[in-house]
Amino acid sequence: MGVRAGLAYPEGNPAALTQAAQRLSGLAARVAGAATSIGRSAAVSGWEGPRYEVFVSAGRDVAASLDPGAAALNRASSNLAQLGTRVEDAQRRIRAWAEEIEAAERSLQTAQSELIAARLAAGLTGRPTHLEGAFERASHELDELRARYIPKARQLCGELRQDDERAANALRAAAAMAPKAASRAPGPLSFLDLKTAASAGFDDRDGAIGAHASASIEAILARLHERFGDGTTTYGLDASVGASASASANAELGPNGLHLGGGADVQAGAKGSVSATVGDEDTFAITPSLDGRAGPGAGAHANVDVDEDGLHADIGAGLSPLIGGGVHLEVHVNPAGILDTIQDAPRTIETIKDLID
Amino acid sequence: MLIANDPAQTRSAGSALTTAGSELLCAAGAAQLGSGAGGDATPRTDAALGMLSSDWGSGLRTLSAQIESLGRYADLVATAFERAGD
Repeated sequence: MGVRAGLAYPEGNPAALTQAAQRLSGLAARVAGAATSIGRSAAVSGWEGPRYEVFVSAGRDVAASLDPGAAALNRASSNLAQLGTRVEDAQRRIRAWAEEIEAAERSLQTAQSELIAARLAAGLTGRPTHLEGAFERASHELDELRARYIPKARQLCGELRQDDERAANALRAAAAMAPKAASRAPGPLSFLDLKTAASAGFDDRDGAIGAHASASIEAILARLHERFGDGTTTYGLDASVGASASASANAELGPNGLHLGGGADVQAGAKGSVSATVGDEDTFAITPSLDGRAGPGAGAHANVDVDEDGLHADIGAGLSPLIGGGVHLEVHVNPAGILDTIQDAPRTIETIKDLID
Repeated sequence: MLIANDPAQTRSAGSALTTAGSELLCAAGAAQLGSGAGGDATPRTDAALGMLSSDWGSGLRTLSAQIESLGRYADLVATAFERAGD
């Protein structure tokens, strides 16, 4: 705090505080607008799958965290604007009081100068009593003004300190609501997913005996796995960027049937596949797919399952010196389901006939 | 058919998110309110204003990059959907 004519005076720039309050209010509006836009944009109809869940929740989390932040910025802006007004008002009032005191000081100096001059002129012949009276009145007025305004100015400055503390608290609260990379914002959607696995063994569980051996290592930078469809065909979209190597072999014989499988795959770079499943998993379904690879890699696998649901074969091979691809075919046959369908056929024909008739 | 509608909506979402990310970056610039605005009368406010500027500036810059990344991701998905639909 400064001093003006003996009065405590709040040095400062209220216009700069008002300007900062306006900019803060503008920032709050921008943040609220962005929150609304992000929340609305993240909801995309027709896109389904686990990645969409990550996507939409990331957008919603950001919007939800920005809304209270914008509100806190608005509160801080109001406090800052109020502080600017209070500083300006205090400065204006104390300046007016100081000008009154300065005027009284000038009056006193004038009265004092006139009194001294009059005394010198009068010499020993008499006393300039009227000037002595004027001097005493000026001196009394100055004392009175100081006694009135010094405590008032001190009180105003004390109140400003409280306003300063209040505005600072609102600003600190708004600062605490600032977006933080670790907790409020969505994590990066590209991630390094490093997996290693190795196993070998012999099982005897639930009446089945089997042997298996496998080893794999994956360093996946980004992965996409989506399924969508139109009711009759299900489309699949899989893509990943990274490096992986795996090999496995297994055989199992049990009450549920026989399973034989094996495969090996080495890939560095990007790979993706597009597939479409036509048919009914309960009876007969066929899933052709196309693989694409960028980067050196090769792979082959075969799996055969024979169980009470029928035969399930899954074979595939691919090679890519630099850019390449492969084909893959999955066939699922369920004799029981087909038999049920055939047995239902006469009943279905009867139903159609009933409808026509 | 569902697949025909997806790419346009997803791409539009990606574009809107990229715009929102740019807007947040502009807001980060607007968050540079400076300190010492009030002068000697308001030392606590000035210090808190400096802290707010710093926290919101860096927070919004980080968030902007993440929202733009979300937008690019939506764009990538839209492209994948389009190719799958060809």
